[in-house]
Amino acid sequence: MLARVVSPSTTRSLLTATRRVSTVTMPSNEEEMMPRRPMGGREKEEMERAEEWRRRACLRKPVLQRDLQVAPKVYYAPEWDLAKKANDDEGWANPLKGYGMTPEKWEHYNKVVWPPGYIVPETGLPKNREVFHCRQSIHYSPRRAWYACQLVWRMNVDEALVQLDLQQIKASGILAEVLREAKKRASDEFHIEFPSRMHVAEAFPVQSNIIKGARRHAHEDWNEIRYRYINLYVRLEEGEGPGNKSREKPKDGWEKMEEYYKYLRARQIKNSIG
Amino acid sequence: SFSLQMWVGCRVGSRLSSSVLPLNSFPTVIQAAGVHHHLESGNLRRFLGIERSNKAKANRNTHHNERMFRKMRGRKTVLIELPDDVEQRKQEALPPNKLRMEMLKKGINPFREVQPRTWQEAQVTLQSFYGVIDPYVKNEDPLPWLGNGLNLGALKTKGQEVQQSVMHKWQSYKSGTSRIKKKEGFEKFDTKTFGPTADSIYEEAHEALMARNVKGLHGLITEHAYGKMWPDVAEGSIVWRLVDKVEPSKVVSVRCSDHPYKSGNDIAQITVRMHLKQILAVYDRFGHLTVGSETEPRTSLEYVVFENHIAVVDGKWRLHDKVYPRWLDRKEPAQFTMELKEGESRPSAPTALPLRAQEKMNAAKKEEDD
Repeated sequence: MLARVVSPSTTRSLLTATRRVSTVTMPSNEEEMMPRRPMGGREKEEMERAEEWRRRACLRKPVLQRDLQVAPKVYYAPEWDLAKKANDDEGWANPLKGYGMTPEKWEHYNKVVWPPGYIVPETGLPKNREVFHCRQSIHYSPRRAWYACQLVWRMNVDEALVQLDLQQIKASGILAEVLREAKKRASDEFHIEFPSRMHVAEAFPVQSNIIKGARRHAHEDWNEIRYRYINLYVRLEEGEGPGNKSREKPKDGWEKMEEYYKYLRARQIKNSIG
Repeated sequence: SFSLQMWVGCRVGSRLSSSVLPLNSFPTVIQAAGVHHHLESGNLRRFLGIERSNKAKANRNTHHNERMFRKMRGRKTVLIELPDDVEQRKQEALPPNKLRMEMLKKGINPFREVQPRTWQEAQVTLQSFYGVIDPYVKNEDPLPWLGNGLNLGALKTKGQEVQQSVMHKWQSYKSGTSRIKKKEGFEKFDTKTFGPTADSIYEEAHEALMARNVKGLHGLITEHAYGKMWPDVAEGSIVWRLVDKVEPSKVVSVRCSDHPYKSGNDIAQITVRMHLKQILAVYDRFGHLTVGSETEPRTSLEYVVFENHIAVVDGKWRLHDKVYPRWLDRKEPAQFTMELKEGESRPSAPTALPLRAQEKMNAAKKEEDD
């Protein structure tokens, strides 16, 4: 009889985004494969940190809009002025202007106040302190600045400053200054005890405006030069980063082993007797 | 030896100087374009890519002399006066007097061109004193008549204290209570029955503050008090509850003054002694507890000032301020710990601070930075 093996990949695609339950299935010769030691304090901390970031990584999984549950507003924030115009010389407040992230919106995040003893419902942990900082109108290309931002993303602040100091592009110096300003704000404005224990949760450039210049080529051929100005946004968050720059944590050998065992055990012989 | 022209667009490298590079290589400037010379392990700077072997700016390995026409090509670009963001940021950080100096150096007249002085007219309303008229509170632990026997010096100080207290009571009656009673709507004003009113205002004000009810709050506290109380709730949250009144609240001082002088625009301030048992927990922006406790009540003795614009018929008594006499015990402060920066150290002994110490320290710091 021909046997059709149902591969586990199809079953996984049918599953909705659920929390990944760790079912550690060890082989029979367990003691030989992995000798157990009592877990020290540092390992426990790392486990807790890994668990926290695992829960947070689940939040980034895409969810169908109809399954999405919007959390009720438990925070307090000052009223956002909808009638405010993006540019001062406009006739009416056009919502199409000032789309995306603007320095005013970024700063507004700093004014949010969470309720006493707030526990984030998705992770079950108290909220980490975070600082939103922005520097406006920097004469630099957004595409080139992106590389500097990607370097320090999810890195510890001090480590980020050291790394940026050693880079050869101008944006690194600027980003280092912005991070220093953000650190200073964290300790002065937000009364964060140890600003050095923060990591760069988000860092990205957004183009603010372009000034157009001209350049002449051969045969009276004129072309446009774009002088781009960017706003650099930075968010510092207390605690350590996840340790990786991907959406999901990359799998280590043990997890790959688990998956392989799962695949092996999921094989079926279709239409078999018994 | 390196010419300074080459180092345009480079930055000074601080971290590599001490560890990697040899000591006699000075100044330590990292070139903007790095070209790693893997076969030249003898020359460390070239090997690392900090120094170039071909000093020409455009080194594309074409067999043409690209440097020859660089200046001519440069003249093709139309030079524009681009806004210098670094300069702008520096100017924004300057205090106004220094900014004016910078403008004058550039030849701009700040008073005529930047912000000419325009006629400004605004109506001013006088409904409240932004402070306490008389912060005197009689000591609850008065001096003894006979300390160590018959001491003239001690008697003198005791006499002064008694005189002060009598004057205070007279003032409270003459320029306080009697003046309030003359006003329309306040004929039945009595200090003996004001205690419960004060308690209710105090309680309602704190409930409104906890709920962030701005409209209600403005009817219960003055603008001066709002400026002091609102930041606690705008940059954090509060959990407050009145547990018990240890003693009934008592009026300690009544003062009334008009602003401007002798206009009849009277504003009255009453100091009430409140001995209460309260629960107060102050949380920071992210919901972490900073001071107090939600379960443990604390007993506090406070001298709370209530103010009323009695010149107006519908003047209301509102929470205005608190008086902190010297002899009163300090309350538990919020414990803020900060990392000490390099150069800063903890003081070896406590020092007596002058008035407005924080402002003076900030001003001195600013001048140091400048």
